[in-house]
Amino acid sequence: MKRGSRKELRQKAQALEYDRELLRGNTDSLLLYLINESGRIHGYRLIKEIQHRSEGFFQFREGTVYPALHKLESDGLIQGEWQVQPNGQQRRYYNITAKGQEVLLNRISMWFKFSQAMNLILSPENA
Amino acid sequence: MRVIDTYLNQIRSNLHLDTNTENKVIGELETYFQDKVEELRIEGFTEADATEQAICSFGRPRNLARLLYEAHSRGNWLEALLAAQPALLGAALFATHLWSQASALITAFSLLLMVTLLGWLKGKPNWLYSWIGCAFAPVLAVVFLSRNFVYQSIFKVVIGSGVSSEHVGLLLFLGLYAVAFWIVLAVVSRILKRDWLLVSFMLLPLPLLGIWITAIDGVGQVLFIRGLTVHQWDSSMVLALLLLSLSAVLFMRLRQRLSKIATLLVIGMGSTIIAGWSMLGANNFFNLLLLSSIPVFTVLFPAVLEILFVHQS
Repeated sequence: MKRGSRKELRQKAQALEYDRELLRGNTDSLLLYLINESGRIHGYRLIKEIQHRSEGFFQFREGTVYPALHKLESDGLIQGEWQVQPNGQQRRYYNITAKGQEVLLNRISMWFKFSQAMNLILSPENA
Repeated sequence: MRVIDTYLNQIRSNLHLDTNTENKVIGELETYFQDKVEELRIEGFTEADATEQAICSFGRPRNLARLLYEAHSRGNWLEALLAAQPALLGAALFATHLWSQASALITAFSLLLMVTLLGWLKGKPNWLYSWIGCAFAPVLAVVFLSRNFVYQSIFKVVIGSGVSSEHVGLLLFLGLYAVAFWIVLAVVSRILKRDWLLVSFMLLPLPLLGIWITAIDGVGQVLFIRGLTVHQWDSSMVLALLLLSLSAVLFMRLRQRLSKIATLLVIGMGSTIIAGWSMLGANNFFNLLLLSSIPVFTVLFPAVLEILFVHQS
């Protein structure tokens, strides 16, 4: 393998790792937002919704969504309940709690402040 | 679907959660796989390929089980305080020197036993395991304190000095040993099936109590005797038991298994060293090393037992 292509691969891997880190830090907020918006939603639908809305940019590994949902539930931010489907299958639906809504509002306001500050620094006038 | 069942079983065997939570988690994942495989089949995949892809998208079962464990392993503050109660109760008995009064001791152990039995019947919440460990203490104390009587009685039976009341006593004690051994073994093996770390958490107070009872026995002051000699180690016991109550709180509040193991090891060693230093006069490096190896063994041996018995079966 040529030196140049190895460097490119390393840069791609670093960029991918950076994306993952960003996503990992904001998974809870994304999940809370979607649960709040939908009122009631199950895990598989949430995964699809995130992929669809981010136009495929956020490629969630499904294995990370369920532990994140369970952590939110054990922290009292969402509440899960089983529902029997017409085909007899049981499905777990989640809805947001009052505490979850409060946390979500804080996170959204923090995110806007953060992204505004980032934009101010990274805007072309400052370059 | 057998591949998915195997995958889910691998997750289940690494979850280390109570049965209800495990069923809830596995049930939810099962539904996910049904949805995913169905979707991929509609897209044109064969069932085998769809299954393989669905499993790939989930990652390694051990990693997933670890994340799910961390999501569920943290108890709330009330549970943490409940887990700390047996050590705090012990600390209170030593701080007030009431442990040498039969009525106080019987009341404390009755409370301990009652809560333990209630907790056991009500689904064995995580805070219960520190209570179970302390509930073993009186049984082990009776076994330890009766050992001389049992040795002597066995000796008399061997040399054949005829049937006496001692023989009846011996039979009673041997019966008690058998029952105690059976109870401890049954409880440990049952908890081991769920999580070896809970066995470690449960057994953590026993080295400290073992050192204390050895020291008390060494000066010939068995239970219910008042006096300066018998209470000279009370302050060390208070300190060591407060450390154990702190370990119970941390154990309940921490999410990661490694942090929980480290807490049990460090605080277990700390309490044993305090006890050994003041009660057994262990103040040189070799003795302290020997003492600190007892909680290390107590904390890590259940892991070995799990590998040997639970995973094998």
